[in-house]
This record gives sequence, C-alpha cells and structure tokens, in this order.
Amino acid sequence: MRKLSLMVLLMLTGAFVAPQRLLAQTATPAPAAAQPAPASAAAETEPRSLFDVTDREFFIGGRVSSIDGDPARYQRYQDVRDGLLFSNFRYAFAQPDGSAIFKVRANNVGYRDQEYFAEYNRVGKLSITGGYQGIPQFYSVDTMTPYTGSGGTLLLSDSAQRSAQSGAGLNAYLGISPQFDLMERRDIGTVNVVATPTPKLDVTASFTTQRHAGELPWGASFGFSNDVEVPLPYQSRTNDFTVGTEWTNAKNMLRVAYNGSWFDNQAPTLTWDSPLRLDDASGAPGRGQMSLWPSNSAQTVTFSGYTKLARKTQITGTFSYGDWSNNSTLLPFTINSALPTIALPRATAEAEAHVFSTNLNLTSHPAEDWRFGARFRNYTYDNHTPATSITQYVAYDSSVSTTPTGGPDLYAHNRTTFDADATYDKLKPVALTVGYTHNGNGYDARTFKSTGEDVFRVSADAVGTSWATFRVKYEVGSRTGSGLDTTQLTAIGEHPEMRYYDLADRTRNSFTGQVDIVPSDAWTFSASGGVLHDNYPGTVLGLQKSNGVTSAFSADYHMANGLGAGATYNFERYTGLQQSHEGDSSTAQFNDPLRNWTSDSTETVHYFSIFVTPPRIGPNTEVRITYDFSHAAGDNLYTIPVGSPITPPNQLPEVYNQLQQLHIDARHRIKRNLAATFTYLYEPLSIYDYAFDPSVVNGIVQPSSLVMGYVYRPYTANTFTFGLRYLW
Amino acid sequence: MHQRIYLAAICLLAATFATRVGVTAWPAVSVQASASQAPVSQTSASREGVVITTGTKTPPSTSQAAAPTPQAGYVGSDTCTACHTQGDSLKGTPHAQAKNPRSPEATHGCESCHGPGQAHVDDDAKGHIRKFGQITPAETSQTCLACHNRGNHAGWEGSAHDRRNLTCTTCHSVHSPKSTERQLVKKTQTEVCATCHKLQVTKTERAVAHMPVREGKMSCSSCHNPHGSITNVKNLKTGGSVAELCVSCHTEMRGPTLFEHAPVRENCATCHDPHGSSNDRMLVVRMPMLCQRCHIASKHPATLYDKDQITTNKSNRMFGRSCVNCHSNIHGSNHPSGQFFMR
Repeated sequence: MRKLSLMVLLMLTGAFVAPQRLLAQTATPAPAAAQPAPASAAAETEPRSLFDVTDREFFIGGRVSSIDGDPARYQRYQDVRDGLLFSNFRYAFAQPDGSAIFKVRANNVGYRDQEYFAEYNRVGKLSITGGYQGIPQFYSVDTMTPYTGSGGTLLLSDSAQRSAQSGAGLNAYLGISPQFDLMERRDIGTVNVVATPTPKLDVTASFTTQRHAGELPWGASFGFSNDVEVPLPYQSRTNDFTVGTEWTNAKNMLRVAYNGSWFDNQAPTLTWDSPLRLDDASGAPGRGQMSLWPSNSAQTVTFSGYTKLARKTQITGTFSYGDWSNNSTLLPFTINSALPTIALPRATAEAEAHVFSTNLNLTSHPAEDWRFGARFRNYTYDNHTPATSITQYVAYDSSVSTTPTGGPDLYAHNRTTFDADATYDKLKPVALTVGYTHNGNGYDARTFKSTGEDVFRVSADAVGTSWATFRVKYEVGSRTGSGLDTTQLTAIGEHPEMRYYDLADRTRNSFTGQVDIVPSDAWTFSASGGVLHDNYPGTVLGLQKSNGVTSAFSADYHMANGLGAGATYNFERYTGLQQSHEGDSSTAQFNDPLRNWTSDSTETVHYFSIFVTPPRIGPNTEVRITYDFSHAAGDNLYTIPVGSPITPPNQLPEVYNQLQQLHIDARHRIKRNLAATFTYLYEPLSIYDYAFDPSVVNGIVQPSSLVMGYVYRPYTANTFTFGLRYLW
Repeated sequence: MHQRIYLAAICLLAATFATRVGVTAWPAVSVQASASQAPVSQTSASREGVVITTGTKTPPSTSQAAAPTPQAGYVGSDTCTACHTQGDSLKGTPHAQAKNPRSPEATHGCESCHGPGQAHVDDDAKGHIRKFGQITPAETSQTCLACHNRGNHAGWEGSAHDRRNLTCTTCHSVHSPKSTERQLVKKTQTEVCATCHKLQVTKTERAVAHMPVREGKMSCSSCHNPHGSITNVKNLKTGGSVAELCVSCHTEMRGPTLFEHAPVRENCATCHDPHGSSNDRMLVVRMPMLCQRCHIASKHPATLYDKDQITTNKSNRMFGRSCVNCHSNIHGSNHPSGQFFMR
C-alpha cells in the first residue's frame, strides 16, 4: 500500500515537474504570492540557503534505522520504518494577477504518519483548506496475550479456562499467548471554508472527522486476586461541524457560531473472559462486562462581539450555551448468570448537561500613561442528568454490594471570576501593573459548597528596546472554602480530615522573571526563573504542600557569515508533600495519629540544548547540528511518626528517564534546483520505572494478574535519511 | 449576587467612557498623520528626483477601506521603495495581496502601516513617519489591530500577552520573517513561544510528552490562541474551560456519564500536565501517590505502597498502571456498576 501510494505520487509529481521546470527556466520566478520568504539584495549574490523552506520542492530518498531496544517507544507517535521516502512535497501556484493561490503539501507519503494539506485561496473572497493526518500510537512489541476476538468481545480458550478453573491457574495461558504489536492510530480529516462576501463579513464552515482504530492497553479486573490486562479494541469516530459568521467594521465586531460534535464509539462495550474460570459462579464469574466511553454529543452556540468606545476603550463579550448529552443504553449490572438480576434504574443513561459561559472584557486607556482592564467570567456546568437510584451494584461481576451513596453524585460547578488591573507605562519602556482577581466557585455534591480566592499581583514589563527585555511578576493568593460537608467524605469511607486539593484552603505565592539582553547583533543572552509555593494550611490529610523552582539560561551567537551557535540550560524541581492515614475506619485505628504517614515526592529535571550552524562549506554545502538532552528523575520519600505501628517503609527506588537527540543535517547543492541531503539522528533513551520494570513485569503471569507484558525498555536509535531535494 | 455586582461595575465603567466619545478616540485610521505631516500636493519628487504620482488611494479609515479617494500626505509605495529596499520583502506575503481589500497593498501600501509619507519625504532628518522600533508596544498593536481586528485576533485587547506589554512585533515580523508561515520572528512557532515559555516548551521535549508535539503534528497554537481567547482562560483557543479544550480532541472523555469523577469533569490539569511530565500519561505525580492525595479511605487506598510491594509482593496496585489496573474507567463510567470506575 505504501509503495503504491508512493508510485502514484511520483507520477503526479512528474506531471507537475515537467511544465513547471519550463516555467522556471524561462526566468519566471515562483509566483510572488506563493513565496514565503522575503527576497533581499544579498539573496541575489549568494544562493539561497538550502535550509530555507520553499513553496515548490520535494524530497525523495531513503531511510534506514538501527534500533537497539524498544522500537515501539522510539516510534510512539511516528513511523520511521526503513524504505523509500517521499516527503516535504510542497507546491504553490498563484495566478499572475495575484487573484488566486493554490498550495498543496504532503509528508511521509505512504507511512502511518503521512499527512496531506491543500489550500485554494481566491484572494479576499474565498479560502478552502483541507487536510489529512495519520497519527500512530505505537505502544509495544513486547506484548503477548491469550485473548482473541474482535468488536469488543475478548475470548480465551475454553480448555485453558477450564484448566485454570480446575487448579492450573494462570500458567494455563503461557503457551497460548502469542506476541503482537500493540498499537492504535488516529486519522484526522478536515475541511475549512472561509467566504468573504463583503470586506466586512466572513462566513466560515469547517468539518473535521477523526477516526480511532486499534488497540489500547486496558485494565479489566475481576478483583484484587484476578487483575487482567487486555488489548482493548478501540473503534470510534468523531465528527465536528462548525458554521459561523463574523461581521466587523472599524469599531465593532459581531460573531455567531454553531458547533456540533458527535462522538460515536463503535465498540462501546467490553466483554471479556475470566482467566480463572470458565463457568459463572457467585463470587467468581466466567466472564465480565464493562461499559467503555459512551457515544455522546455536544451542541454549542456562541455569540461574541466587541465595540470600541471613547478613550481607547473596548468592551469584548462572549456568551455561549452548550448542550452535552449521552443517551447510551445502560448495560446490565452484571452478566454473571449466577448472580441475581438487579433491575436497571432506566434503559438509557439520559445523561445531560447544560454549559453556560460568559466572558466580558473591558480595556481602557483613558490617559496617555494609564491602561485599565477588567474582566468578568462565568462558567456554569449544570448537570441535568436525572437523579438515579442505584442502591446495589455488582462489584467485579462477582458479588452484589450496597452502594455507599445510593446512586451517582450529580456533580455540577459554577465559576465566577472578576479580575481588574491597572498599568502605568510612563516609565518607558517599563510598564508597571497591579492587579486583583477574585475567583468564586460553587459546587454540587462536593465537600465544599463554595470556595473563594483572592489574588493580588504586581508585574513589571520592559519591552520595546532593541537591547533588553525584562519581565517580572509576583502573585499572592489565598483560597478558602465554605459550607464544608464531611458527610461527602464519610459516606464513601474517606477520612473526614482529608481535603481534596483542588478545593482545599490554599495560599499561593508565585514569582516569575525573565531578562533578555542583546548587547550586539551577534549575541543574545537570556535568563529566567520562577518559584511557586502552594500551601494547604487546612489540610491534615491529603496534599499539604506543592512547590516548584525553575530556571533557564541561554546564549545565542550569530555571525553575518552564517556562523551560529547557541546553548540553553533549564532546571526544574517540583516537590509535593502529602499525608495519608493507614487505619481501619471501623476501629480506633482510624483516628490514631501514629498511623499517619507522609509521602514527599521530588521531581528534578535538567534540560540542555545546543545548536551549531557552521558557515557554508564552499558555496554549496551547508550543515546544521543540534543536540538536546533531557534528564528527569523522580524520588519519593515515605515517613512515619516515631512509635508508629506501621511497618517501617522500604523506600522506593528512584525513577528516571533520559532522552538525547543529536541531529546532523547536511545538504549539498548539485544544481540550481537540486540538492543532495543527508540527515542523521542519534536518539538514545534510558528509562527506569519500577512500575514497568522488566524484572518486575517479567512475564504475562504475575501472582494475581494476567498482564500483557507492557514494560519500559530503553532504546538507542540511529536513523539515516538520504536523498535528493528538488526545487522548481 | 457577586456576578451582578461585577457586571454592573463593568457596565458603569463602560458607560462612563462611552459618554465621552471623541476625547481620546481609537485611531480611526491605521496610522494618523501628525500635525507636522501637512498636506502636500499629490505629486512630489523623490530623492532621486523622479516625479512620482501618489495616486488616488484613500487612507485606511477602516480596515475595509476600499474605495480610493484622493488623500493628502500620501506618496505611494514606489516613493518608499526608492530608498527602502525592504519594501520588496512584502512580496509573497498577505500584506502584498492587492486583490484583497483588507490588505495594505489594496489601500496605501507602506503608508497603510507607516502613515502618510509626504512629511517624511520632505524632512531631511527623515522623521515624521511611524517607525515601529521607536513606538510603544501599545501603539504598535493599535496599528496592526486596525486591520487585524477579526477572527483569531479579536481577543487581543486585554489578553494575557497584551497585559504583559507584548505586541504584534514581539512574535511577528512584517519585513523579515524567519518562518514559512505566519511571518514569525523565528523559524518555528515553538521557537517563538520558547522565548518566554521555555519550561512549557521543554516539557514537550521530555520522554513523556503530549502527542505528537515533538513529532511536529501539533504546536502551541493547536491548543492556544496567542492573540488571546474571548471564550476561555489561559489563551485556550477552544471551549470555555480547560476541560472543554481537552475534550474537543479527546471526545471520548467528554461524557457526560452516569458516574462521573469530579476532577475529570472540572479540570483535566488537576491530574495531568498537558505539556508533558516525567510520569506515565503525563500525570502531575505518579500513581498511586496521585490518587492517594485525595483517597484516604481505609484499606487499600491508604496503604503505604513501598518497595516491598513492587519487588516482593508484586502488588497489582503498584505495577503497570497502578490504581487504573482496576479503576480503568477513571474518566467516568456509564455502567450501573461503575460507581468506582471499575466497570
């Protein structure tokens, strides 16, 4: 298929090339309207850089890779298989009078990550663009599974199930679990149309369709002692349609738009065999069933506009209303035939929400040196799903249990933000700003009925000078909750002193700053940093602190002869301190502070990047070199109080990942319109995570799990791409 | 109650300003002539002494100025390019589309942005012209916004970048762009954004990063509108909340579902870092610690899972996807037995 596509494109290319070459040779430059880069006087004396992208070119050549290690991770979202490569195809054509422009683009033709783009622009009147993208998601080549089937039903060998049921356990699957490549792909097609019937009016329409196909790693458990990992069949399509119109004159804008989005899961149910049994029994099913992402839709209408008033004042406003719904058929509580049937509360989900969003923005420059702004925002997620009484449910398709809440919580929320700031910029180029924000949030079915947060900020920004840019900002905020309802916690067995960190009382201090210095045309220096401190003073159990420190330094050097080099170093450290409690809620343990324990996580990241652009080697050869290094390490430290009855923890090992990328790209001009190119990519990844450690997940059969063997493995990849770049 | 007060305050402020129309109005033209830019005849001599007809173009009194009428003070682009060779640099860019009535080329060419040039031509010191390197960021923005006042640009006024004193030329270059699209001051959009947002950009370069940014099929503007959003926070280009932006692509997570997980419904960024992280699935902290920040019920949610649980016991609460090995429908369940997201 890939080769066929390639041949077709080559023929098409040939058809294009022949006449266009004639055009080029008759001294007709590429149409002005299609040329992206400015021409300069220097360009006439020195050939254009071979690294400048043009609107009429293509690459044809080959690609070869050597991958030592995990080829799936190397190709997680791309396809770099060996073979012929036709890519970077660009063609643009403009009518001589500039009345119309046509562009097409294609990359990685025939590969899983191929993409195509086309545009027709009737200048000032009509624009039509369309495209297609394939995005692979390659998980693993290490995976094995005994499951077979399709369409949402995954089956095991009856004899193996019977064998497991009679005592052989999961080892019954060792010999019948072939390797398979675990991958999924996303195909996205889109068409956009913009018509401009009058200079003041735009009418827009777009359609996007997105298809998922393939398999995902998925947990499908029958309980603590029977955890199963399956290759989830995933087939879905989302269609989005938007139509709108916008009218604008010098002082006003009005816009109205409609968006409809429909997600259709073509495999909405997963039914899978239990690896431990063939026959249903109370407490031990032979097969389980779960609901996957339900098909759903969202319809949204949006009205927007602005008007410009006196004193350089502008009011901008948007109001939107959305209706989200999911009315998928409800599955039975269980398909375990040995369990009693529980009546469904209704046949379909009838899940619905109304979403209202209002944004108002006022800006004004009433005096030469002053600027004021005020913003109001309200966002309401109004849950219209009918109350549902579900007093019993079936846990793991195994046993009937009583629900702690009597049915689903109908979550809803409302956010109201008021923000105002004032800027004084007489101290040019420095602009000083003070601002205040109040966030008022309301919640249904959560621990706090509402939260309020006040944030004050000051900032100084100096831009506009040619040699220096300076920015700093400091924010201090305090959030408090009200209407605490601890029954929302105790009803589900949570400790009443636990606080959800997205609602909990919080103080926040943050600082960011950046300085860029350009002392000469050759040099640019930059330094930036930031500090974030979040404290949760009212939280006994849960997240107590979350901090971050970041810094970055860079220097770039550019000479007029083309020599350039630069380096960047970034440092990041994030920490989080949380406290938990290990104790049975039915005993005195639950309130014993000696059973509290803390987890202190630290994540440290070093990032380093350099680039080198040597001067041209002779008149026709150019090279670019870049190197990127990223090392991230995560630590976790458990602590328990002195005298705690909790077993002293054996600390977890450090996890890390280190990604390096060295790119060398060399290009040599053979003729005016032909260049040989050679690209080399060296990409080693070293990675360790105890959760995906091959020595831990060392097979598909684990003590209480049947898994697929998905692990983290390092790789070292060398990819060579070579070929010809043709410009016409 | 608070909403009404805020609304009233904004309306009051607006009304106060609106009643004083004409005091310091928005520039009705993209560039206003200063007092020293006195009207001159429509024909003048360039520096080379060539007689140049200034034509019959009108000032861009609006972005849609299309009907040419004579206007004093304008000399025409040919006069400009006699000295300023960078005028050629507009070729091939949208600014040079004469067929587009919204383009400067359809109105006053160079003078659409730089202002009427006659006074500049007549001034030996070569002042009296709008020089973008010498005006404030706000003035630069106002010049560009005279035409770029619709679509993605409609939210610039009061946007996060506007409030930090950025302007159009911070990221874009009309005459010497380095990119093939959008006339950016650097070769790629990512490079431009990294000028200030280094940490967010380098997160996309990590081993666990948002797909497929590093591969070049997404960029910052896939999610953000750097010109400001009139519907969402954080310059997000779609929807009215962080979650709405995320589910515009991840539609399978949109729901609503029978059983919902509150942080999923409210903000994806409670658990995920959308730019990238060191943890599987871009989680802000690895599991089970992430889940244990909020779930401290007795028994397994509050268990201290140490090294022995992974190496000795091989607990299925630790290896692989940890908590999500069982709670696989963590983003919401449509199953009547899905209270704990296991079905």
